[in-house]
Amino acid sequence: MGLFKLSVSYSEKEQAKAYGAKWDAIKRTWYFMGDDLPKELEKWYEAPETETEAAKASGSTAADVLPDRFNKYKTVSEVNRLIADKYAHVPDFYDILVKGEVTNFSGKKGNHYYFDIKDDNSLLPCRLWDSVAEQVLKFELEKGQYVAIAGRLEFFEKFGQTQLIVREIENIGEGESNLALLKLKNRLQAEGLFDLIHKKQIPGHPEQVGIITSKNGQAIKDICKVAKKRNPYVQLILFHVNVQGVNAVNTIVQGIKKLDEMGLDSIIVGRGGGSDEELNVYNDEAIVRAVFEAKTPIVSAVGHEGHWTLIDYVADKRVATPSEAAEETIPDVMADIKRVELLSKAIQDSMQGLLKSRKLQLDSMIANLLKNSPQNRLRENREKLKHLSEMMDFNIRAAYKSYVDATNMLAEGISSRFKLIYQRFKNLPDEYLEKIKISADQAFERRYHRLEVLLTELNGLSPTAKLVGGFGYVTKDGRPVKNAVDVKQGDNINIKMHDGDISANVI
Amino acid sequence: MSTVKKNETELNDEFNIDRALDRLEEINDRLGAQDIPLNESIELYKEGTILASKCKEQLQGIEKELKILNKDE
Repeated sequence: MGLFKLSVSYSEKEQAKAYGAKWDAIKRTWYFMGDDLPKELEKWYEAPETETEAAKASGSTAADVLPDRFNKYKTVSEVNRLIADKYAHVPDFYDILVKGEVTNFSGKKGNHYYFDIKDDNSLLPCRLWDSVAEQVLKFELEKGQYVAIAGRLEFFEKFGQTQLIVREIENIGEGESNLALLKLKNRLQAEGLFDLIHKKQIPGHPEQVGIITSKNGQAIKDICKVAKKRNPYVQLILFHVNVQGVNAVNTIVQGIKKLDEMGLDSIIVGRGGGSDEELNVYNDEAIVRAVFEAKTPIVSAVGHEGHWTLIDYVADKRVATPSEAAEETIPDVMADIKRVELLSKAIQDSMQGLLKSRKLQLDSMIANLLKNSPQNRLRENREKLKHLSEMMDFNIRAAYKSYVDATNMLAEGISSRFKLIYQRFKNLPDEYLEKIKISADQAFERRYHRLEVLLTELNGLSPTAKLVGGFGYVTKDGRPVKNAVDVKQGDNINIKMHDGDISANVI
Repeated sequence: MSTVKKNETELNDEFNIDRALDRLEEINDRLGAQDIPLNESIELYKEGTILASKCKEQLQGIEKELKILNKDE
């Protein structure tokens, strides 16, 4: 029995089918299975390339310069093609039934499921195509599950790897190693080893960071690279361990204890990615307990996203990769330096602003003080006085001027009137002047005479004039005594003579 | 002289970068206030400048090489 690969175009597929050709939905190729290829199918048969053709295809230029004795050596592709051909001719490989525990599975990659199944000693890589999974996968595929698979074995030339191509898959329970791990996890959890209360803070500004990994692995290179970029001033101290193999657990435990004694700021326990079996070291109880007992904060960076080991639960911080562990334990010092510089500048600016505003305040106070000083007030008053005296001077001058002007005007007016009168008289004939003079004299004489007469009459009417001839004017208590009976004996009377008074007593 | 030096070392040992950065923030905030007395501002300014240069000194140390404890194993 053999498998014949066929190259059938889409338009010819019904025809080929009729002659017994089959479609492999997984490999997406046509084939015929049987002892001999029917004649009708021969035209579609794809004969395997001959060795010389394969050699040509590989296009090895090195072969041209190699000594002849290497001519019989095959290329890698030729060897893998040989294996693949052998696989294709083993009928048992087309119907494999196998049971095992799912491992190394972290979800779909692209459209397909890649995982391994294992027992105590062996692993078998499996591949479940998406189109098949849609039909046969009736449960959520997870590692640790115990599964039964029907499928065929195929050899993948590109990677030189045998894979079980899944046709059917069934979940038949938990795998043994997975059960053991779950039991250990539950026990440690119940003891409180994973409790948040025990998680220690990773210091923000470390000086020394310890690393437990292999000196030859990618992990230490990644950590150093990130650390150098973020903070080259931090001292990294490596405790070299074998991350897998028989001594791995012991040396990792020893490393944790040793670095913990050194009083470092934090410790990274890590390795690059690996299969579940390789990472299994970090599920060891001794390591989990060593991490729990350490005084130093520990960051676990084991495996990658989707792979949790027990150290990840007990560590103070769990990250997926060694690079992330470096980021976690070594903060970017450049950011801090920038922060200090900004703060320093802000403080300078604030101080300058404060001093400036104080200076302005001081300036305005000095100005105020000067304004109210005695000297300033004296000067102000002096200026006020000067102004007032100037005003007064001006007013006096103005008043005097208007007085002079008025006087001048008046004088001018009077003099012009006199001039007029004078002119009138000046132009009169002399006899008129004489006449005026005489009549003026006569008028004066008349008036004088009349004055004399009036004065004489006035003298005659005076009461004192009557007293000259020995008469007296009698009064009592200031009243004139008109009759003799008006006085009684003892009365005091007053007798006014023309030249004085006599006081008398009536007897 | 030796006593002074010893004191300085002690001070450096006590220096905590996190506390120093917090204090710098505090000083900056206080200096930004309008009502701060002049004397206080001068004191704070002095403290701030010294702290800032200490912080930088602390952050920018000497570049270190990886040390492997058990190289020969």
